[in-house]
Amino acid sequence: MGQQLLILGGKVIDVRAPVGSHARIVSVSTNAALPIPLRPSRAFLVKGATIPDGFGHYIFLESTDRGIPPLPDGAEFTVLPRNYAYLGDGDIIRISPADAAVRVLFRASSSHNSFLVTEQCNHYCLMCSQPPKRGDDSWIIRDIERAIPLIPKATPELGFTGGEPTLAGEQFLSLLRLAKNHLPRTSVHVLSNGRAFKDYRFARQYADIGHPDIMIGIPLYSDVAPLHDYIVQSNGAFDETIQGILNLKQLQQQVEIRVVIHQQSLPRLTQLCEFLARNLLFVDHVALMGLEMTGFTKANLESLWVDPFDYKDKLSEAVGVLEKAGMNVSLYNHQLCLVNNDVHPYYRKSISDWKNEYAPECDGCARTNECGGFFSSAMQVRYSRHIAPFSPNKR
Amino acid sequence: MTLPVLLDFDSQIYSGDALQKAAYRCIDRITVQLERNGSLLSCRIESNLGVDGYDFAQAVEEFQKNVLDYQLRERIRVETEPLRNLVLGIAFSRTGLQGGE
Amino acid sequence: MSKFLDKGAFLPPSDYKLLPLKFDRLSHGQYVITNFVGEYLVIADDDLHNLIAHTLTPSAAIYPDLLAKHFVYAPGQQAPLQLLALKARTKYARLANFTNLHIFVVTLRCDHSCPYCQVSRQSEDRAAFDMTTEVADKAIEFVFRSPSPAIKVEFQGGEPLLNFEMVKYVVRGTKEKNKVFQRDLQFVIATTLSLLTDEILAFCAEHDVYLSSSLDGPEDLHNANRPRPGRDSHQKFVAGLEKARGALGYDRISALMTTTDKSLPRVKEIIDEYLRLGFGGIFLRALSPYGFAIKTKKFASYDTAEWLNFYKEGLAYIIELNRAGIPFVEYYASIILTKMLTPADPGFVDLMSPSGAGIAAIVFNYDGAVYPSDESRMLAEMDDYKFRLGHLLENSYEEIILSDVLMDALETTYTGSVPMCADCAFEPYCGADPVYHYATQGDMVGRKPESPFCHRNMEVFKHLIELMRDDAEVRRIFYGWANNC
Repeated sequence: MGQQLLILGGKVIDVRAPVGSHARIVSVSTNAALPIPLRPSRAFLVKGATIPDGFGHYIFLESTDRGIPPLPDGAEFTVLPRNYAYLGDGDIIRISPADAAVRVLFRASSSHNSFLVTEQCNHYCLMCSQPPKRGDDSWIIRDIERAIPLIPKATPELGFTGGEPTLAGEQFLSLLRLAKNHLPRTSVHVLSNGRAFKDYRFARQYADIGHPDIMIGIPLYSDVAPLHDYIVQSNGAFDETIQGILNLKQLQQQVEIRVVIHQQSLPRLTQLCEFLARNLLFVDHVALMGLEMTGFTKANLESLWVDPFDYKDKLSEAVGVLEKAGMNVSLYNHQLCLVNNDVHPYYRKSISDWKNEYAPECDGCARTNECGGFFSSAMQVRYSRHIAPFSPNKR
Repeated sequence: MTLPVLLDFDSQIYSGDALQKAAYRCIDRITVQLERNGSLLSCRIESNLGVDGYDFAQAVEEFQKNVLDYQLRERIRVETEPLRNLVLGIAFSRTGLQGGE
Repeated sequence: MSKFLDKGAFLPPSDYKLLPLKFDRLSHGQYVITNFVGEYLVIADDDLHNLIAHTLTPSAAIYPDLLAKHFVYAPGQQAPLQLLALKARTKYARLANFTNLHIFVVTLRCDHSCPYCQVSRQSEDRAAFDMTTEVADKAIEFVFRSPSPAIKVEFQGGEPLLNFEMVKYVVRGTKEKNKVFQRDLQFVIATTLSLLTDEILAFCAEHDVYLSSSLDGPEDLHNANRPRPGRDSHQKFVAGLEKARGALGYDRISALMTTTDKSLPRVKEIIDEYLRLGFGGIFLRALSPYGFAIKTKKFASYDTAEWLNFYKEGLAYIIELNRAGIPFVEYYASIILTKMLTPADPGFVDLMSPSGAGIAAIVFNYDGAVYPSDESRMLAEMDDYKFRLGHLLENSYEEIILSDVLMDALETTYTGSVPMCADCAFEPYCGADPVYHYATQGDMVGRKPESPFCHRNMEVFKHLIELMRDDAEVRRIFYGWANNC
């Protein structure tokens, strides 16, 4: 039995706010005893009978057996469907009265919060999990600018993704400065194709932010340009990405190489790892990742899908190359029963904590607590035919 | 004492350099004298002292293969020498070591 | 979906450009190509000719490997040039660090009388054959003139333990001076282990001194090579080994073999002896040309062929051990494999160009004379002072390091510009060895076709490449060795 997939955005049941008012970005509070000066900037999530005064906004979860209790005069409120019951103290949401919409931007209880900076992208990866959209979505950045100051200071980690975040240029760099400013103890992880950093001045501006703990995850899908460019559907991508990586490392910035393993990248996976060990030995981390069954992957499934069980030996070989060269390696998005024992030291349980599910074949497995399980998308689309539970004594 | 072998090479196709380098490579077994002969480069190949018939024949065969190899190497060198200098220049562009001690 | 372009839109170009490359022949009608940072690729004869003639088609199976290993690139690409530059800089980085290994010959006195050794004396005369503190002080000063962040001080002889007072003096003196310079220091004593005492071991333990010893093989072979009063060299070695491991740590004692003609038919037994005594690997060393071997030219051809059989047999045996799950390394191969398979330089003095002699390593003789290598000091003991760079008490650091003989040796023997080496595909893996060629041919450059050094090394390079070509598991094993350097 897995968790239900969390809903992060959608329509509200009802919202009351002054006419023509803009979207609100608010931090959720469940603390009825919150000191008064802090209340106007927060939204109180009503779960019990108590409705404390003074909050800037109130959130109710839809319920059939009672109406909205009396609120202080003029108080704004939103009624959310019951499936937002997961909301908790410190979460940040965007409420848009104009189109009666809500979006959860930040979950305090999660260790994997990520801001999507833009849906625009200059690549069109065959397996893109966040298919690009054209059109000006710079309002997203303005939302993030308002959200960052609300994020709890003790948050360990924060991500910036897209689309391609660097397409927002200077605005993107400002977000990073803002994060450094408000959240100096929060690790930042950026996902980018790295091409913008081919421009040394831009790389320099990025480095000059001087963030104490930031890493850029940059995909490389092959050791040769034709194959990489094909997978990302952009000629010249490989050449510019490498130049970007070199500039970043020259400026002593942390860089992670990300590789998604599928039918196209698999035949040269070992050669790619040898290429990394020979040419990019100085990168800080290599992340080998399983295919996510969402976005464009579904459209290209027949040319992407390969059962991980069928490539487990090649995976061992590839990991062996990186590991012998002394590089830091992690393996994500695979099920534990589909990989060889020799990669277990590099196996990471999960890349995101809110997408995990297990298959019926997993019943009775003694090692589910070590295994990342599946993305829900895998359950719906396709997963390995070789899933088999570990018996309690099997190692 | 094995008889010398005489080989002629068309000087429009084979360079004196390639022939000399090819000869040098087998110098432990044969000694080659080169002479210009009109449009030909003539090679007189003799075995070194103590080299028997089979080893000599093998060295002559190797010499001929080496000629082709060195001809190819010359072509590669000419084509890629500027690039080698470019890359080394990039490699040491920030070391401050250019300009002598 | 039609909005995705197929592979046809992303083909490698047919108008590719060549990057600098060299080639040589392998077995089975194949060639090996190498670039100037040591990456290699086995290529079929017709693929090579097509490659150079610019008629290689984008669909050729070898094309991606040619791109990935930087033998060709697409017009307009910048990354290949930048990556090659980076790899070149990495490979040459050690050069700027200059001298790492400093050898102190603290005495010529020895308790052994090995027939091939040129440098030992059976004598009690300390005054004649021991290093003085005056010389040692100057040598220590010299050491810190090197910019290298890592400094290795190695004690040799004769038998250094016979002048242990000097060993202690130099260790203490160097560490004292290092308080200012803050380098990463390492100390090694080259010794037979026959004269170890508890006092000596206690000092070594206290100051992190490693021991480098000699093990030529099973007892009869070892003792035949290394006569000593009591004919118990091997026994003494084993006892000393155990004692030293207990006092200093298991991995603090390494062993090197000396290969003589008696060793050549017995490689498996020698390896077994190393296994038996718990070593993690062996360095299958070449025959030394010094001493009596120089006088007989026969050394050249016969011995090289025999040695290659010895080496290949030994290596094959070691590979079988690895396949059976026993980790055991052949160190000569691993040094070469580091150059072939990784961007790092292993810093092995004998395979360096410019020559490692004098710049990567330097020798302070007991009498104060300075030599660029151990072998050149051996020549001096045979009255050939060609490579005597100077004297610690008479010449400055500059006079010694910038001496004509050293400069000549470095410049004239640089493999990038000498006959045959300049065009050789294996040049990135090889080295200049001016002392060897001077000793065997009378000329520092030497005629490489007549050089056992060249013949031996080329054969080993080809052999390693062919082994990896023919067996993926060997490649995997070798890849592990390459990264251990």
